[in-house]
Amino acid sequence: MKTVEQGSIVRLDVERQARRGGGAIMSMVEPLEPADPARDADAADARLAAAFSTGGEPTFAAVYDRWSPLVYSTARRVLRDPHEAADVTQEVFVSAWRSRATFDPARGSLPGWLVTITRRRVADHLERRTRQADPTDTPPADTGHAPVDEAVDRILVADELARLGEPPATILRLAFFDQLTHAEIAERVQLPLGTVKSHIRRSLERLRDRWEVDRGAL
Amino acid sequence: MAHCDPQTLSLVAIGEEPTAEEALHLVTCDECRREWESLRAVADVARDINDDELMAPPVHVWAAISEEIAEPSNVVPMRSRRGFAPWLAVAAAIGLVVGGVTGAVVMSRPAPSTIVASVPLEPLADYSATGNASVEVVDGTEMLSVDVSDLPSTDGYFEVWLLASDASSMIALGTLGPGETAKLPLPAGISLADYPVVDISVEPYDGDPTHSTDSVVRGTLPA
Repeated sequence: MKTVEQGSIVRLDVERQARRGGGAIMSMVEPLEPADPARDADAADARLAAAFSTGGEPTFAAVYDRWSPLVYSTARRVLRDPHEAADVTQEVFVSAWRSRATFDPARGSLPGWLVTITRRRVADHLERRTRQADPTDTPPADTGHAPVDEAVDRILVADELARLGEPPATILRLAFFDQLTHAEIAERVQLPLGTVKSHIRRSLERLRDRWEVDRGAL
Repeated sequence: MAHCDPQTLSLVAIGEEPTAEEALHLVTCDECRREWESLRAVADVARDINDDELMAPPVHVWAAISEEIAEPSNVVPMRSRRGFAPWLAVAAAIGLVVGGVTGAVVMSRPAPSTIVASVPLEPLADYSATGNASVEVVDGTEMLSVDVSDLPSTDGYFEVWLLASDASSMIALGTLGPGETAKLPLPAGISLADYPVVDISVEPYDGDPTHSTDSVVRGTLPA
């Protein structure tokens, strides 16, 4: 539900930015704080989280659209089995629906809450596997925990990276994957040095802050 | 030296070289080092991420979920005991009239409204009316809020409908007066995926409950 709405907000922002930074004279002026498409996405997420505990199925469907990739991808990475990951996703969201009244946005983030349920369900599946492998009913070995944490970290950061919008997403991609310096990035994307530095700082701090909030208790 | 500039900390966290002075400061200043280390931790995770890391589940998963949650036996539990402040239980035990207190608090709180989906309404045929429809959650109830300007003059009235994508079935939600914003409650359990199209029609006063087929504006809620 949100993708269309969000897409249009991001598009507007990019247009606004193109207008602002498009001219040769404008690009010589270094804006202190460049436009921030991620902030609109945050506001939309916050509205969803606030509506979740009392909302009905349309709200729940929007929550599913927004965060099911997080749940599915985490389960898929840990379990390495798309069918089992689909089962986990179903279990997590059915459980989230039934206990949604217990979710309190003041006590934590909604993706963090969903990640906590995902961890539990994934652990159940790993335990079931261990038990099936060893029918003598010995306590299951502690095999799943390190990979679960790693998967949660990666998927949460991937989700945030996907939501940075442009140009921050391109700038970070050039920094991370092409390992360019901020000076090389500025050259490549034709933005002033200060703007690139500001994008890098804000995006990285944002990734860190969201990650720390959403990863929940380890 | 003074603390490192936050931009510098970020650049060093993604792998750029600090100056000798900055490097020395990072070794000696706990505050800057902690900040740098936390940024470097997330940068290390991000650097490792593949393009296909984030995948949407297959479509059948949502179908299975909506089927499972639609079963009438799966009643949503009452507000959990976790949300129930322990001091309330203690107060109740020692005989305070908590009902009055909490009742008053609940009554005085304004109904929060949250928009979960929204769509512009575009005119059909010869009409020039435009507007907006949104699904809002008001105090736990889902409402369709419609706001249309430039409605044509009519001897009849305007009716708000939700239609299936192919208009093979429809639900009448209520009426809309000219210049009005209508907030119409959605039937409980309705799936907007089945009825995504918001439609406003001109209806004659003929007592016929079916759609007149004279639609003024329409918009499809995002799926």
